[in-house]
Formats: sequence, C-alpha cells, structure tokens
Amino acid sequence: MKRKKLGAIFLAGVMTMGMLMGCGGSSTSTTTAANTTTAAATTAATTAAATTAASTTSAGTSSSSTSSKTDSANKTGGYKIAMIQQHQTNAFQIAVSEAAEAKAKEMGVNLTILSADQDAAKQISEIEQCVTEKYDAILFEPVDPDALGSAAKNASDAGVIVINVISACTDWNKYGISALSCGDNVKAGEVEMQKVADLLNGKGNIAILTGPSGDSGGLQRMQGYKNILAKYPDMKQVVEPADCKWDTATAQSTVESWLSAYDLNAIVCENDGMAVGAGNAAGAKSGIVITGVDGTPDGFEAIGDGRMTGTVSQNGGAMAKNAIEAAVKLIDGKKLDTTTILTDCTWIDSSNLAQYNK
Amino acid sequence: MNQKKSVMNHLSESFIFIVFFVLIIILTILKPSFIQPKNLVNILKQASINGILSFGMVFVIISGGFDMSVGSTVAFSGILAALLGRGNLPLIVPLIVALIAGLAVGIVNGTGIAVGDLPPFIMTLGTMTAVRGLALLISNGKPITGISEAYKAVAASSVAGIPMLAVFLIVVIIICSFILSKTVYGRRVYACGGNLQAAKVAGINTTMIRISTFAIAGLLAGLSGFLMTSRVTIGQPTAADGYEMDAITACVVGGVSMSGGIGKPWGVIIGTLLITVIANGLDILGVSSHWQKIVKGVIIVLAVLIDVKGKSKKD
Repeated sequence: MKRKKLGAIFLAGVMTMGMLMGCGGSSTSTTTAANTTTAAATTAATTAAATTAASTTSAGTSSSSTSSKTDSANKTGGYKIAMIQQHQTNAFQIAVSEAAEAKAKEMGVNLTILSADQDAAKQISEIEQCVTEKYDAILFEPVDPDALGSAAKNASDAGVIVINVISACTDWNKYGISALSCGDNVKAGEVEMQKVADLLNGKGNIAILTGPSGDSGGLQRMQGYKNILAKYPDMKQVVEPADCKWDTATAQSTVESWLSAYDLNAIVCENDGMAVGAGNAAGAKSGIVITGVDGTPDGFEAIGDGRMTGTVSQNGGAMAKNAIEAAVKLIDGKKLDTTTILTDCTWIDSSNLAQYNK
Repeated sequence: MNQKKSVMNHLSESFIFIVFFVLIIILTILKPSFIQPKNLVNILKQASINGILSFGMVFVIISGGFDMSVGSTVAFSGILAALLGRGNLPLIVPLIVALIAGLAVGIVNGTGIAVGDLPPFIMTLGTMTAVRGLALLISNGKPITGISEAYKAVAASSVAGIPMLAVFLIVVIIICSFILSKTVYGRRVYACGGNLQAAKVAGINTTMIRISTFAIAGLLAGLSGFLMTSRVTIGQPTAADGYEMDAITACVVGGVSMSGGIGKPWGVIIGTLLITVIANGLDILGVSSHWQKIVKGVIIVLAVLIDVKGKSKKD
C-alpha cells in the first residue's frame, strides 16, 4: 500500500520534471526537445530503480551502462574500436567524442564511446568488458596514471591493441600500450607563458590559477610556465598559485580578492574556464593580460568581447583522430612511424579567433 | 550554578562572533587592503550565492532534515536559465523557470522524505546525482555560452554601491528571518525539528511542513542558479559542485544544530560571512589555497565542539 503511494508520488515528480524540461526545450531548439524525452526516461528509470529497492542493483547497473554508451557508425565489417574517456562533462571532452565519431564514420570503423566518469575502478571494468566483447582496439584516457597499467596489460596480453589518448599511464610502454596520442602539456604551458612574457615585454606582476592539486595535466602546464619564467627574472609571481579546481566561479572570487590587494599585469590560467572567471573579475578590456589553455567555446566568447587575451588550443579532436588512425594501422599489422603522436599547440587570440570559433 | 550555566551558554552563543571579529582584526593588521571598501564589496558579492543557499538550508536543518542536492540544483536551474537567457526573452522568463526547476527538485525531495519516509541523506543523495545528470544531459556536457548582455548585467550591476547580488541576498535574509522568527509557520518548523512526534500530537501537519522546508531550499537553489549563470556569464553543468557542503557549514558554524530544532538567522549570516572572509582573506594574503581548507575544517570542528559542550552543560 505504502509502496504504491510512493510510486505515485515519484511518478508525479517525474512528470513535473518532464513538463518543466518540455518548457525549456520548446523555446530553444529541436535537439533539446529530443534530449528531453531521454531525460524524462532516464529519470523514470532511476526513480523506478529507487522505488523497488530489492531489484535496484541489477536494474540500476544495466541502465547506467546503456546510457553511457554512445554508439556511432554501426557499419558491419569494420574494425571494432572502443574509446573510453575520462568523463564527458566538459567542452573539451565533448569535442574529443565528436571528432572521434566523425573520424570513425570517415574510416568505416565501428566505434563505441564509453565514459569512465572519473572513476578508475569503472574504467578498469570497462576495459575488461571490452576485452570480453572482443574489440580489436581500446583507446583510453587513464583516469589515474598509476591505476590503469595492469588493466591495459591484461587487455594487450589478450591480443587487443591498446592506445592512450590525451594523457598516458605512467611507464605506458611497459604495460603493452602500443601508442600514445596526446597534446604536449609542458609545451602548451610554455607557449602560453611565452606569449604573456612577450605581451609584457618580459616584465611585470603575474599570478597563476591552477587545476586541482595533483592533476598531471596541470602539473605539466605548470612545468612549462616555470621553464619560461626562469628566463625572465623580472616577471614576478606576487601571490602563490591558487588551486581553483578548473572552476569559473572559484576563479572569479579569487581574482576579485586579488585585484583589491595586488597590482597584477597578467593572470595565467591552466584552463579556459578559470580564465573566463578571471576575465569576469577584471572586466572587459581591463589592460590585464589573461590567458588560458584549451580553446573551448566559453573561452572563445571571452576572447571575442575582450575579457580574455588569448588561449592555447591543444586540439583534443586531433588527438582522438590520430589515435583512431594509429589503431587501424596497428590492427592492419602495419608499423607506426612514431609511438608518441603529439598534436600542435595553437595560440588563439582576437586576431585569429574567427578561424577557430565556429 | 545558575550563573555558570549562563556563562557557558553565553560563550557558545557568541563564540562565532568572537572568532569572526578576531579574524577580521588579524586580517586587517596583516593586510590593510582587506578592510578597503572595494574588498568589502567583494566579500558581499562572494557571500551572496552561498548565503542564499544557506538560508534555504537552515529551514531544512531546523526542521530536522538535511539537503545534499542544492549544489546540483544550482547547476541544473543555472543551465535552464542560461538556455533561456540567450535570446531576447524578458529576464523574468529564465528567472521563473529557474525558480520552478529548483522548487520541483525541492518538492520531490520533501515528498520522498516526509511521505516516503526515506532518510534525508539517502533521498537527497539520489536527487543530487540525478539532477547533476539532468544538467549534463540538457547541456550535452558543454558550457552554455552567449547569454544576453542584460542577463550578464544582473550580477555585474550595483545599486548605490551595493552589488546587485548582495541586494538579492539581503532581501532573502529579511524574508527568511521574518518567516522563521515571527510567523506561526516558522514556529512549526522549529517544532518539527525539536520533536517530530510531539509536533504531530500537537496537531501540526508535519508532512506538509517538512515538504515545504525542502521546497524553500529548492526554490532558493533555483534563484542561486539564475544568479550563478549571470555571475560567471555562462551556464555550466559542473558548476556549484560541493556548494551544499558550504551551505551546511555556514549553518553549523552559525550555531544551527544538526539534530534540528535549534538555530537563529543571524548565526547563519555570520556563518556565511565567516566562510567568505576566510577564503577572501587568505586569497588576499596570497596564501596557498590548501590552507583555506585546513582553516575552514578547524573552524567547523571548533564551532560544533563549543556548541555541543555548551548544550551538555545546559542539560
């Protein structure tokens, strides 16, 4: 009796949500409207799972695995390749998935994209699952550089081609990983700081915003900054680098506080999200050089209206494309010219923004 | 005996004030620019979103509940507001939609807890996860860019030197404080948290009261989402991650008891300001942000320790 009542209440809740999102969707675009239905369906699935507590585990897991799967290029006969992303929650990662899908379609590859949702354990099970399902190749960006080594080794021992994209496992070539397709984070940091140094004529007060402490990409960018700063003794860091967790709002608060106490000439950020926050705090055309890394739409918008000076694009899409090309080559039994495939760093500012901002 | 009781009681009530003022004095001595008007405006701006969330949270906690989902709700309503704030629609449309979205999440929470008898932690943990998923789904994982200039101006503008965000906060504080301390409804919220059975026996519709507290928290999270999008100028599906903890911290530090029934609005104001001042002050000092976490953690534990000690002496 009670359960029935509960079910009815949940259903009502779900319907309210559905209605609500219907409102949002209709006034924006048809694609959102299409999303709405899936959203309502997922909520229904989740709540249904929640109400029947006994059968939660089985229902829950099956629905989550299907929802994270985005099948594309369902051509028969092509190679079966899986790409496991760290997560799918920012513009950079979405650009990677979109480019991979396009490349797979072009090459006639049967590509499955999975997301590890920042969970190393989940990524390990996904790799194991792909081996069981006899994929020809697995491309993945390790959630943790040290945790995924043996899972990769087991996969390659089972005869699957394993390639790292975007970032690498520690000592990746020892774990049977055949190639690494990534951007050069140290170089990206160097390009960014060099630009800042050029714009300031090698002299001024600077501050740095970093990603979460311990993030390998962030640490490498910081290394790049240090390499350049060593050459410019007159560029002074007046405050300790602040850990703003890649987050716009956090960066905005930190920079607001800084600006009331320090005279800054440049704010160097490890990603665009934080640079946008810094730009919001400083205001448009503030005269402060504000730079980021990534080349995401929010960064482009801020460069467009003068809140940000520029950004270093690492071209995540190209990383995915190169990895798929390498995978197909290796499955064909050919050799790669180089096992570390690096993409270029491109400096984007208001002068060449139109080329990249589509 | 009586005197001893009141001294302890007094200490636990004013402890947070003492910490707050000592902190302000120390920061001013270390860095005089801390007390400059420009920085005080910063503090008001930075306290606003957390403050609004905390005033929603205080209703829930006083009624004996707990809400983990407000951070996700901010992101979800912020995304909806960003999508609607891109065109030439009047700003009232994204505002209303964000408020309704937040309210809906709050009602689902409250219904699950008050009618379905689910523990608040479990129910709101569920909505926290699901609503974050909704935000990611609607935005396709990407930030929503291109909101109108008028929408951006909401958070960026100020009235007579007071930032607009703070005006929103002050209005929320006045309304919520009035409801909590001066109305029958407010007294019933305290009664629910103090002793649910007794409140029921006394003829209070506890189910409705509990649902309504979650609805208020949701509604204010919706408002925060609308303001958040305006402040950062983009709608971010990953925004406001962990804000529920900051809101809970502000309440607890401000003397609101996690077991319900006890708490005063002014405590929440001080709690919110204290958290903001710690972050702002340490930023200004140029201290590594790792220290902020340590200082915040120590203050939470100290505040609750004094609170608990004070109470046990009272009994």
